[in-house]
Amino acid sequence: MNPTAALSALSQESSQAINTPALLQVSNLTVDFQEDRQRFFRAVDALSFEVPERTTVALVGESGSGKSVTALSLLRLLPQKIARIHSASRVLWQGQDLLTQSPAFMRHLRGAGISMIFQDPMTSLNPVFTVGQQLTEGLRVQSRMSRRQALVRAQELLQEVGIPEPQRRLRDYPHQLSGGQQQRVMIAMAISAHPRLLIADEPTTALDVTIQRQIMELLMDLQQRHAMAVLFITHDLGLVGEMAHQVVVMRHGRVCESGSVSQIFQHPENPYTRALLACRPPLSSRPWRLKTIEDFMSPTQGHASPAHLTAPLSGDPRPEGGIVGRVPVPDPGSTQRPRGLAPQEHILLTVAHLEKRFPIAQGLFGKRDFLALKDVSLTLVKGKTLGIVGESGSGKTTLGLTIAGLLQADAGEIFFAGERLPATVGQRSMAMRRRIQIVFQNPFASLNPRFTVAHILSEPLLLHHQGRSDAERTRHSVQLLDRVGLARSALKRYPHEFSGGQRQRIAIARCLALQPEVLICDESVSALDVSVQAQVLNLLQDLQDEFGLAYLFISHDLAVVHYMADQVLILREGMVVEQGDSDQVFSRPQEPYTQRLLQAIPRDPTGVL
Amino acid sequence: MNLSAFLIRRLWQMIPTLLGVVLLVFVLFNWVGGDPAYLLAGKMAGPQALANIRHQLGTDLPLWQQLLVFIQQILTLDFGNSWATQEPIAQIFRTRLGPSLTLLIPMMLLETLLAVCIALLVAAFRGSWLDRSLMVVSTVLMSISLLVYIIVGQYVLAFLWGWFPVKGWSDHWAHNLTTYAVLPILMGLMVSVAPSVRLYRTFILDEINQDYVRTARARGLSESRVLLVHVLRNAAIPIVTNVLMGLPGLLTGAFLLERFFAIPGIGREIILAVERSDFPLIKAATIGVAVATLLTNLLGDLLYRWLDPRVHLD
Amino acid sequence: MGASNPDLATPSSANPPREEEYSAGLWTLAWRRLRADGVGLISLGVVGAYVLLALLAGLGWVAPHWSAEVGTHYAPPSWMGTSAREPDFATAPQPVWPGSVDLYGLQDPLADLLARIHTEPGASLVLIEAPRRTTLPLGADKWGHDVLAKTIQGGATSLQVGLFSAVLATVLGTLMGALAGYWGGKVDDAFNWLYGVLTAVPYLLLVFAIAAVLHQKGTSTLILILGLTGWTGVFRLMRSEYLKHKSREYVLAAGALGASHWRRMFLHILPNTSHVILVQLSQNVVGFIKSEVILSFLGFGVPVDAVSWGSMLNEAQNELILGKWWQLAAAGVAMAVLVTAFSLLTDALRDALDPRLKS
Repeated sequence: MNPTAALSALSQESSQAINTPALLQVSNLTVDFQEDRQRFFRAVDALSFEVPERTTVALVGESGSGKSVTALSLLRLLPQKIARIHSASRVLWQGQDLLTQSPAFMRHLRGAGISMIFQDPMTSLNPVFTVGQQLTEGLRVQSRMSRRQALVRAQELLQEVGIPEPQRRLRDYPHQLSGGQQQRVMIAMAISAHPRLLIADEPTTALDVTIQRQIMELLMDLQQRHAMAVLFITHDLGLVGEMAHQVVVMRHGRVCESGSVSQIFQHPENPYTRALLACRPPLSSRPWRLKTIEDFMSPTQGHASPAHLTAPLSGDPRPEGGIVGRVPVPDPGSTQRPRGLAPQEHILLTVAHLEKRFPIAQGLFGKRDFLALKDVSLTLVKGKTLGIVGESGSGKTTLGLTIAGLLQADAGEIFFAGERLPATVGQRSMAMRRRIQIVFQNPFASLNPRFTVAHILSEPLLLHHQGRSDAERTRHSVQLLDRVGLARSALKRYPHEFSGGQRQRIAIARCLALQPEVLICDESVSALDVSVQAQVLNLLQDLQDEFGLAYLFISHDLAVVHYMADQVLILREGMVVEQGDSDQVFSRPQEPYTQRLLQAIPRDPTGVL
Repeated sequence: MNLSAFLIRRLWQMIPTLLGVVLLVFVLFNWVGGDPAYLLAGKMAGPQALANIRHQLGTDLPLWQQLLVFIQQILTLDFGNSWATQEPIAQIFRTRLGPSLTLLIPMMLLETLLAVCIALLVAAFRGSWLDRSLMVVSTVLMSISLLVYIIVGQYVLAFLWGWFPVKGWSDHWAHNLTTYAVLPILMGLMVSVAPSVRLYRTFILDEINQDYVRTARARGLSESRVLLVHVLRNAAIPIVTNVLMGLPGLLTGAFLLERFFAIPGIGREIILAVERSDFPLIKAATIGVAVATLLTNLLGDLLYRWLDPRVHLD
Repeated sequence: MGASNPDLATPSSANPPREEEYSAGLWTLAWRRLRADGVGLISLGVVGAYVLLALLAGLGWVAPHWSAEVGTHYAPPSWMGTSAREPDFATAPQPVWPGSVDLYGLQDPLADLLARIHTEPGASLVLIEAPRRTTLPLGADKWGHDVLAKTIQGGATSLQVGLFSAVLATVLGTLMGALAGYWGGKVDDAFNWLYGVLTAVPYLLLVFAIAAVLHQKGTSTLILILGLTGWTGVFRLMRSEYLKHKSREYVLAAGALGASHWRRMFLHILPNTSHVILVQLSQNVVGFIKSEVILSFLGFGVPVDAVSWGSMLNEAQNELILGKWWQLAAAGVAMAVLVTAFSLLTDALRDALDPRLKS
């Protein structure tokens, strides 16, 4: 569906909605989760919204907003032992309250009236049954078809969701299909009994950007053809613009704002909605720094972060936008950040013809090599950022680990400031190790859970014999914490007490302890919510401005790379597809693969994002 | 990769392990065990008698020659005669295997069936009082020593109440199965079902928390279909593997039963051999059980690959 | 906006701050969870009481003279009183008890030693001149030994064997598993081979085989046998833990910071596997106590001049036919309570320490 069609459909729907009652009306939905014997955690708090017939409604929120819990509670699929739905809650399906219906009624409704697809198609399909067995099971059990009828219908369904050679795919097991095909099978199963409402819970989050585009188009097409309503649950506002008619923005289990797509995107009223729209890096421009949620909300407004863990704001001499006396900062609102290389740059890191193989057992006694990196060459300039973009399986993480010396390259060379680096970190001198550091993707896995933050930050100092005493190292750790925006009280705490963004700050502080020259950021902001992502990106940018760090910025997220990188390298199946200045690659991509990648980026019809 | 290539590769990989077992047994019995001549000859033997015995046993040869003899024995399946009864060892095992299997096969089948049913039941009612109390009961049941079960069971059920013969064995397997094997199997199940229930329960609960179960529910399948078709089929993979891997352990694990109930099986034979320091018999038993273990492991691996379409033969 | 912006934390992480103190580490949290678990706490108490009793018995402060013949033959438990009816064997014609194991014409290998022990009271025996008592708290055995004292001393032996061999097996298994999992390659192959060899022979058969060749019996020999053969389970788990952890990001990060292999193996990874080690240790204690009882029952375990629950069960087997059930009950119940408590404690530990639960 093109943007204008979406908008016109929307206006139709909204005029209809006045006359006919909505297909699904949720009012006052409140869900508590039991944490232990006494404590409850309120996941959804007095939530109300409705889904009209033949309309796509998007439920948007960051992690912990309660959007998935809402979806599961509509079908009463929450674990009964720990989830408690309050008695005042109503989920009206064509006038009937689903929360009071019998289990048999609900069983009948699931699939036939309301069906659902999930985030990870790989784990959502039963691994030990074939696609055909799983597709026909529902048809035979629910629609009472014969085996033969069900098989014919299953084939039609696979055809409808765009799976080539459906007859052969029926005999395949889920793991034999690609991620996109798995999600198509899930969709086929979901529409097999002609539901009137399809709940799609982050259906494309686990997929690569090009596959995401295909699945989105399939969903829009099916919604039209089957005249279904779709409840589309996502964290990605970009997808909402293309897909949905109406939007419900959620935060901490409550509705922040709801309305039509054009309303929400063009005239958002709630500060949180405005913040969400603003903190994604835009593709059309490159502001000096990203807006963060605090730019829109007063400190008192729904701030969940434990205040004692952050450095004091009062009396902070630094005005918004940067650090006085360190870097001259233009006005953050208007100035664009220039990217690219100047004519004379100091090359810090050179990687030449890097190759990495992983052995796979094959045949009777033989082994075969899987080539994860093939002839990869790159240069990294002092104080600049090289963005490395690739879809899953492109070898981008392998590249980062190999340069860091955590994986041993099978061929090729790495030079640091003209000096040849040994392949593994163990062979490199301590001075060399200091100069290249790495920040990983998962902030929950990259800090040792048994160490206090003080221990985590002082370990690099201890290893490199910096600081004469514990007291001196502690002083240094406090400075590091302050630099990444955390208070000194964090020192005595353990990683599990921090949020994802705070942990990522600690990981960055740990790297800074060694005053590195190159920082490899391996999907370092991918696991974070957009609002936190913007803060960490701003921090990384500040650090680069202040210390002249060079970044090897690895990401699958094109918008983030566009914002951060001076140069870009596109990686596919271990090979470099395209390489060049960021602006040039993004505005005039030469290779068809790059063009496909760029086209797949979701763009909202209103042009706000 | 096809089946025969897989089998060849796996059998080839067994060789170093088997050599290790042979070496272990050899070191234990021909080196650590000291001179068996003293054991056999008794206190009165003179030096000449001892030398004769050593010559007979071949223990006067250098160690490496003894090792070669041992390997030859293994390859020809001819382990000589028992020191205690002079019966050929191969024949001992041939005749003792039947009673052992009469006891073990029904025990294994019953144990698996009971354990899977109870585990499904408690998994269906997970977190309820039924689940919790059954788990505590099974912990208590498995904490009581098998010795206590056997002693009390034999005394009360067989001796006092006369429900079963106290012990014994006949020549006919059907008669054995219906009379003599019942009480031992019952006593064996008392200790073996509970740990299996606990294990299978965790296997089933692991599966119940998977995403595909949520999908099945979201498609409107009934709870019993979800549990018996989707969950059980997945949980069957670790369960079957576990049953097979446990088989060789059962063979020796049943030695207490065989000993108490005078069942002429392999387990009792091994205990007797240990009591009588009948080295050749223990050596042969160890090697034989090791081979059986490796083969059942291979069978378990094959079954695992057959049950789980995600795993290929490589 | 400077870098000093707070993130949006999840609401659940907002605990009231206490600036001056170190906050709760994972161990503290695990201990709190264990304390909240009623069954786990009771089990811990029971296990603690057993260990304390065993310690006192080992020091000779409790039940030091178990081998003193303080009671009459088969003196009944006190609460039954001396008026307890004489068992039926005295009145009725005794049915032939076929239960005991026939020895196939072999001499009882322990007969000599037993006879010596009972004829010439050794240094450890104290001659009691006082008149023998007709009842004892838990009755007496054939020779008039106090069953209560025997049970306590037997428990001390069983616990000693169980604990020490479990520690030995766990240390061995952890070390080998750490080396194999962390280094991989040839080191892994070598340890895997050893593991394959030891697991190809069923555990008890292996222990029997070693017991058969080792002629000297003793508690320490038993501990060595059990410990040296029982490490395989710990090895398998620790190897897979190390395999998993060595490519975790916190270990990679430590490597990039310049931490040595030794430091990564034992300072970073080991504490993160401590829950596995602790649960395995506790599980092994249960397993080894069971093994010890069976071995001692069969006469391959503790020496004859020591008492253990296994040897008590062996005696009790023949006493039961005479209606003298108290030794069987004492040893059986004492062992069942300890093993149940240890098993429940293991479960509670597993729940309390499982790092998956904290998120």
